[in-house]
Amino acid sequence: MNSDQLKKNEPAKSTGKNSRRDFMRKLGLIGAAATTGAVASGFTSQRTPEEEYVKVMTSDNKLVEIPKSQVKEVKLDTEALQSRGRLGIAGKRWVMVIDLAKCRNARECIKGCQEHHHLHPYQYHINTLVMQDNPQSAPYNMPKPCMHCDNPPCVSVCPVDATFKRQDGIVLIDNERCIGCRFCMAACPYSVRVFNWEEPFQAQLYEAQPMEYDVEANIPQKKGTITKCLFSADCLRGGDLPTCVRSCPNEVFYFGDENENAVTNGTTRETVVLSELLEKNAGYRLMEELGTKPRVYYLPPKDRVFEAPEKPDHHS
Amino acid sequence: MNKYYLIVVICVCAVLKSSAQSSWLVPQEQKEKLSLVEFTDAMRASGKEVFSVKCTACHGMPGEGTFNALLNPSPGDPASEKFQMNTDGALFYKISEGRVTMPSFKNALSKADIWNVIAYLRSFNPVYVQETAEKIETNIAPGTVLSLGISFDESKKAVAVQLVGSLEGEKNSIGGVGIKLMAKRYFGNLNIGDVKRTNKEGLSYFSWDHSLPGDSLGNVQLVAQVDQAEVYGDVKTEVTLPIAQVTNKPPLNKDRAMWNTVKKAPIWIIVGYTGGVVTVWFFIFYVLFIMKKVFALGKEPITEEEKVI
Repeated sequence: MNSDQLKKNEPAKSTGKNSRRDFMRKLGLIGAAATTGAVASGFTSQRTPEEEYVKVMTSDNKLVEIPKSQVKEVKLDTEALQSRGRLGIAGKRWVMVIDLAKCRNARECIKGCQEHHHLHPYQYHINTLVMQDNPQSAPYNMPKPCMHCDNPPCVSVCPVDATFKRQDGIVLIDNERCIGCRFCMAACPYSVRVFNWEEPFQAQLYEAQPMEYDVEANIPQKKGTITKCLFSADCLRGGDLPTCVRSCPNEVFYFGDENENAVTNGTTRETVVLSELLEKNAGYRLMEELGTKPRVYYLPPKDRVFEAPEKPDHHS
Repeated sequence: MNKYYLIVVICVCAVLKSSAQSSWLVPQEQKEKLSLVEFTDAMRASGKEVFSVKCTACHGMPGEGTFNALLNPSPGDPASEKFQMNTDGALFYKISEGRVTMPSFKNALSKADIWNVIAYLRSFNPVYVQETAEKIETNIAPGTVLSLGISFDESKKAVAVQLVGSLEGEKNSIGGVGIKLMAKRYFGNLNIGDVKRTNKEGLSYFSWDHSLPGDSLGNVQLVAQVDQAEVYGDVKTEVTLPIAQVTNKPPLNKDRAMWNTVKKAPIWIIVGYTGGVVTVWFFIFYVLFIMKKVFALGKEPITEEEKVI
């Protein structure tokens, strides 16, 4: 096939907003047609020797093969990114485990996160708090990201469907829809949502290099809207661990898929069985009594390798 | 006088012993381990990259003394004399295994990456002269091409991994080689059992209880690897077998819930809301209808008898 034939496949009116997505869909159709055709005719594949084939993932997550000569690089527009972001990754249930015994407040997770999501230094998608459960016990550091609840109160109260829960469990916020009412901030029992009171930290960069809004990374940030922890949904799509998990130098974070019953440590990259990890270490979730069903588990701060932090104010 | 010397000797021994305890003991054979290749500039550059991502948080920049002094045991400056006293093998062991506050990088970094980091750190030592290791002798004839095969043995309820060596068209089973079996997970490989040595038939068995979750068809991707890659080379094979547990859990946003989209809202909300809207509009139209009726009545002519004075 040459480029002329490819042109004929496109409807004349496809020059509108959706043309890129239509193109992606067509790539999928061509691939599907080619494979089903091959099965029906009984031939494995009829490839001309000089033509090279490449594997391509379509926007609906199908793996297809197309001739290399037909590959055109397509940049996803905001709309395509939004529909992909709403859909999530099929067959996954992301889960995070935080080992409190390992945290020494290095704040590398915070730095990595702020860099990834273009946040002001005072804005935290993840924060580390100094906790003390009672006057007798030693204080400990507690990283606190969004819990990505299975029963999210923040999503229930959103009047414009800007914040939503996807099939893989991640709770995202669409800054293009958000009206800045901050109902979700009030509803969240974990106080993990952040408001963009000012122009974004990288506003100058956005002016110099306009970029498409990616709902899976919340960039570019937008003044007057909510921003929150996203489990680095854009990284997960590429098979990478979230930024905070990768940045930690102290083996604090485990991240993985509950369906696979496996989590991987971001520092040592050791993969362990999730159910065993939680059972052996008495894993727990925050504010279980609220019925929010968080997707973030904590392992209690026992056998610590770092010295305890100073006592928080309310116990001194 | 002799007594005095004895006390001094005992004291010196005690000091040496206590300092030895606080230092990091590396097994002798690990200490003597050497890189198979000579460090190059490319290795140093790649090592610098790895170092800046994985090590700077605690060790700071080498030579600048910007390590985190609050940690116990102290991470130390990699350019310092004490640090450079370590042999290449000792550095490799320490990076690979870790202890207390130093994490293990066995899985996080490849062996090549660790050697690259060592190459980078050695560039801060002007008096360092590298020694490279001689090729390790094995009982396998030189020129043999190793290959692995994975199959499921129903009768033994185990995954069998076979190591075969082919030399000039002749195939031989190879025994006594450590094999690692892993299951592919989304972010890394999960070890299944410990490293097992192959028997005389070149086979090693990993018991399998079908509890490992697979995909919606029960398929699982298994990876078998020769454990000592530096001796036998990077021999690896992957296979997908339908021996795992079928995992077919529904999407998390499938059920009707308060937080779900309009279409998936609870029935009582949809009925209640729609009913409310219909009732309000009905009332509005009812009032308008009555008003229209009143207006129409007002337009009707009234007979003289009906007029009330």
